[in-house]
Amino acid sequence: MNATLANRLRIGFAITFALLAAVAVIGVGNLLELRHNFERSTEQSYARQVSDPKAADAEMARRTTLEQQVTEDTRRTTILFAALLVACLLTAGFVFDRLIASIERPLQHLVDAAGKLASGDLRARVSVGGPSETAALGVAFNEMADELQSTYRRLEESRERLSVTLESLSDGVITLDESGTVTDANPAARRLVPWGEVGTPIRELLASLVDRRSIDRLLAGGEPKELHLGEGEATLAITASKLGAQEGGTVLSVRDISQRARLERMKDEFVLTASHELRSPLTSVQGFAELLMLERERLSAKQTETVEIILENTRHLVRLLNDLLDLARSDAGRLTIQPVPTEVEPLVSDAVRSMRTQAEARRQELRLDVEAALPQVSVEPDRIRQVLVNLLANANEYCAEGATIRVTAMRGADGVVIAVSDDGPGISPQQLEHIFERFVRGEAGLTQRVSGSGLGLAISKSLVELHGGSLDVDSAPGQGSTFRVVLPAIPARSTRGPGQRLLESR
Amino acid sequence: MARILVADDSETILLLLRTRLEMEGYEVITAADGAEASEELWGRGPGEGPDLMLLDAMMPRKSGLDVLREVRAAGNQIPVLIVSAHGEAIAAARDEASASGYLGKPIDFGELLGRVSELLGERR
Repeated sequence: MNATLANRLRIGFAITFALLAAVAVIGVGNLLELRHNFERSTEQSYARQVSDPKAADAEMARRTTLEQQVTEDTRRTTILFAALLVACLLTAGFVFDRLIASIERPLQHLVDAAGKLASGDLRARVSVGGPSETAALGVAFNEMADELQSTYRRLEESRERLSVTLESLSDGVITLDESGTVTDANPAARRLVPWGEVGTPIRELLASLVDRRSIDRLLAGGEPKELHLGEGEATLAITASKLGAQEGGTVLSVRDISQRARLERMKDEFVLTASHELRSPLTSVQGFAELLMLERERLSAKQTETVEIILENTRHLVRLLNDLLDLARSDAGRLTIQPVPTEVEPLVSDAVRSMRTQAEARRQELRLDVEAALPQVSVEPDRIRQVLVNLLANANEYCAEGATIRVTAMRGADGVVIAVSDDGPGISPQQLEHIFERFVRGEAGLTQRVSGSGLGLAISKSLVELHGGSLDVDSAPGQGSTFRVVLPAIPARSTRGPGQRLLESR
Repeated sequence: MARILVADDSETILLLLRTRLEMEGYEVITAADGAEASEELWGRGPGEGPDLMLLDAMMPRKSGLDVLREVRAAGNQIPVLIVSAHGEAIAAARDEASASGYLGKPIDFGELLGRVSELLGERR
């Protein structure tokens, strides 16, 4: 029976009210009747007394008896009335007690179930009867518990999936808190790095593999970094990424790149060896061709031209070899420079002078504009000359005859900027994207007889960056090209002798 | 005319160097490796030894750098030019051995002849 709580109360009140009303009616009725009977008997008694004065005494006695009887009746009626009232109140009390119990029981069930749910027993459910409100509350509670249980199951499943994924991953994953302490690591990480335990500072963990400064650099940067560390045979690449902003920790991914590193070493060795092995035969080809040229007067015009072609191609081959060697050295980390304080003007003029003949051959104009009183730069002059000559040779080859090539050197925000610009065909955006990659040549290079190896810009970039500078380009089709070399300037102060600075710092 | 001892493990290069140097009027003695070069240097009578040596840095049996070290250890100050395809080997050797000069491969003959005449001129 699921009458609403309000209806139950209404019924309770109605029963109580009806009983009380009945009791009141019965009681009042009885009393009125008693009084009526008494008054009539009294009137009759007086009437008899008046008509028969002799009977007065008897009437007096009768009236006394009647009074006594009425008093007795009234008392009885009052007691009955009181008894009925008590019975009525007891009934009402019983009804209300049942009513309260019918609400209290299901509510108690709900409270118990909610307690179980809260303490983690997601199977807790209620079977609630009682008024329709508590029944509805029970149904809603059960639905909520079902939803909670299935959400929890889904969460648990996805957590499980994530954890299995992390455990099966061949890359190591290590999570760190803000202070750089290891909070978790998957099995691969425990296998790859010499493992301590959760709670060890990462600096301690990696101390045997890599120096402190590199670890700090790895952890400091907001962007992922790759750290190569050789531990015996293994080479590891570690990438650090910041965890989400709220967490404030770091996640390290550790990858075993031993195989790749070994292949790269083999490739470098191969290029170095091949380039060396090719040098002896090249010496012979070039040397003997030069011998022929020494006896030019005994050769026909055709033969002279043939030998010239041999020589030209030999020189190209030598340049290619030198470039390959530089790149291989750069890859192997063996490309080193010995920077010395250098004046910019002679360096740039020298590079321009060495290109003069080639520019004149194509009737191109070579303009040089060097700002006065430039600071010195810290460079290995031969290497920077190599870069400038490469940029000039590119301009020379890719621009049409009669083009203008301009070299400027000026003070920039980050040092001295040497720019090589031309009014040539320019570079398409697609080409521009890959221009500093190896074996990439301009469109003209594929159709015209351009002698470059496609390595010049890649090497130039490596060389400039090795000096702590930068090399970039601005170009658009039809707009010409500008290559900018930025070299770190030596502050005017430190051009004094090192001895002086030593004294100053003491 | 001055006598030059040339050592290289490549016959072709020996032929090239001999031809070119002889065209310039030098007398040329050749050696196929460092050991032969040592024999030619020490085995000849007075007045018949070379005035300058042109040694390939990398040769079987005994390298040009070994010969250079041996010569300097014996207190002989004969001019020695080292030729090498291995730029790095040269850089490493530059500090320890005292050659009169280093040349890379492929050989720039203009540079080679300039150095030779300069070194011999000093001795004349």
